[in-house]
Amino acid sequence: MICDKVLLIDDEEDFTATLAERLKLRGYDVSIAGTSDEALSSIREGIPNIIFMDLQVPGLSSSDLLSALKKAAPESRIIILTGNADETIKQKTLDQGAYDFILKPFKIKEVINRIIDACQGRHPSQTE
Amino acid sequence: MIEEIKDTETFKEKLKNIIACIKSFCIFNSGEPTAFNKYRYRQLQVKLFLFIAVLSLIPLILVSTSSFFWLQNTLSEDFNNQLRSQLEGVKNSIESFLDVKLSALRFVASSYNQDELLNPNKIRDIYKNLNKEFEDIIDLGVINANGTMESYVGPYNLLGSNFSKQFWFNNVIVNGVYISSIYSGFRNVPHFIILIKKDLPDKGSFLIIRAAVNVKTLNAILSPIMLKQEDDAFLIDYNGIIQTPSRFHGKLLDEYKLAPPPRQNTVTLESRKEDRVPYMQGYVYIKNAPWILNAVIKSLEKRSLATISSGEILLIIFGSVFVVFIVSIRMSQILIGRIKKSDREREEALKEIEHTNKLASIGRLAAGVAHEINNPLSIISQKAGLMKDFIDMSSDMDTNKELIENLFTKDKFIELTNGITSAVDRCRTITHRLLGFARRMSVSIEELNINELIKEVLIFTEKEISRRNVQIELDFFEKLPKIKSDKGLLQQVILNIITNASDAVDDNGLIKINTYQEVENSIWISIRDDGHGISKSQIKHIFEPFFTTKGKDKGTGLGLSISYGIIKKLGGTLEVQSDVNKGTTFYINLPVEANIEI
Repeated sequence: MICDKVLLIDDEEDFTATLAERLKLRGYDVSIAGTSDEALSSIREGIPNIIFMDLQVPGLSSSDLLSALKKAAPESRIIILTGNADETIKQKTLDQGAYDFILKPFKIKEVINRIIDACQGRHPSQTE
Repeated sequence: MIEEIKDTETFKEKLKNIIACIKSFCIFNSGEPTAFNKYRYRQLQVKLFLFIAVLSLIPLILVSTSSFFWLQNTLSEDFNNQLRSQLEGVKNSIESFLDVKLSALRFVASSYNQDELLNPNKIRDIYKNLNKEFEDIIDLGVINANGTMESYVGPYNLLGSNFSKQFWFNNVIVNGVYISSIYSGFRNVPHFIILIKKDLPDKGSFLIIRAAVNVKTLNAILSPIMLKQEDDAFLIDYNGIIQTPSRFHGKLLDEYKLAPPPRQNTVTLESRKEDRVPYMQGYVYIKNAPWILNAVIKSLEKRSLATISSGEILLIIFGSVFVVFIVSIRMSQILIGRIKKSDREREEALKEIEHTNKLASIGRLAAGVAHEINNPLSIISQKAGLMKDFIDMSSDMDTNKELIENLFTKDKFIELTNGITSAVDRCRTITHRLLGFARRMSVSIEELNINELIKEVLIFTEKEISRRNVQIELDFFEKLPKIKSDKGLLQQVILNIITNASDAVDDNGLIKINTYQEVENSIWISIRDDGHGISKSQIKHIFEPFFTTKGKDKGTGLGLSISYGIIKKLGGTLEVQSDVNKGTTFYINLPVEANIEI
């Protein structure tokens, strides 16, 4: 199965654009959403394999957006990308159905590895 | 470019340093000053002592006073009864003394006829016989209906004297018997006379038997009245002439200064006063004689309870008062000790709270700052990473050179470096703001523009507020004067209240911040939200430590209590007004010149 469709949800346009470009260079099919609404409409156009999601996106709250995404794209693996290092928030999002959690700033290699892991269904706890 | 990436690492290090610095700043130093200083404890102890002592002494005084008066009353009642019965006894003695004399004379009158009575020898015999029984009979005489003494035996030469002009002569004719007042007579020997009328067989004719009686026996009868030195008991006649020796009220046959009281058959006692000294006047009329037995008791003071048992009473009173004082002192000491202890514990608990709050603030601040900085850092990281990607790809022989050249243009390079520079600018803005915030955490008074200060604080909450689409409406009084106060502490309070307001409102809610001035020397800040409001039962606890309406994971319940402490410390007031489902408004009043309690 091809696992190259990635959706980036973050209101930091400068960040998503650059990351998208880097992922595209590595052969991924990347789309970008700056708000909750954009993210959900992007899913309606095509279900991504992997969704990278910031915790503070204009529109819905993080937990509402998470459950909306899970509902709209149940097969997609959602990876949280955030600058907030709070352990309780990390655990909360994982409990709510996020597949993985990456703390900003990160190296591209780390992102790629996590995408591969998620695509292969390897849980982060198994890789660490 | 690689150096830039390294820079992001050193930036992280710098950030760590900044956070460490914040930890050492005084966020909130001793919010509640010691509740009581030594002087106030002392004052409280004195008040408490007085309160306990007075509370204990009042019933003691009431009971002892009422008992004292009750006992005094009983004692005086007892004394009056005693006096009454003594006077009654003396009256009876005098009356029986007179009765005996009268009986004897009546016996003489009835036993002897006219001839015998007028016979000088016979009358001498009769006198002798009488004198055997009654030594105090001085003389005996018989007076005819014309008032002439027809026979007489005794020490005076009264034979042939005419008594028809004497005031008693008609009296005895009418009443048949007469006892005179005491008088000294020709020889200056005090005596009184007893007269008995003897009707003769001839119609209208009569004789009067007259006997003079010495007053010695009468004086002896009066002596049993138990008198103290100040007291006096004597007889007066109806004209107020003293009839028996008196201690203080004049000589025998002097006039007594008090008019005779109205006639009564029983003993009469009257409480009187002379020169403000109370005394008891007792009197009683003697039957058959023109005499009033009179007693003046001035030894009342000596007979009072206070005089009788003053020693014991004083001992009991002082003993009780002493015990009350000792107990009051001890109790107030114990109570103050407990208050001191609980104050100490409260202060320690408050210090603990401050410490916890400080840690919580630092934690919040650190997390917030880390989050704010991680975002631009990740932009830098990605931009730099993309540049590195291009370089790596261009050196990679397999990559399509054409594609790389198309992508990696000069413009692209400039765009990426601009992106990095602007992300660094973002970081710098944050760190500079943080430094400014931190520097003002130490207690220092400076001139502040409150409108600017609120705007600065709002920058910290911007992210959360815009995420939840909460509207902030500012209505600032442009001519608000600059105030002298502590910037860091005020920032902490305003941040706290705005955070609370944004937690209280729903998404798309509204927070209104106003500044205004009512009087010259103070300014007002009001922060109003249209959130759920606080119920009346909750609002009274809102400034208490650990009270929170937020969930356990959201609030520590310390923010408002600390804010309250800070505003108080800055000489202002923090008030709250809330309507359920309408919203809550916090009012901060600050003096233009802070009067800080340190």
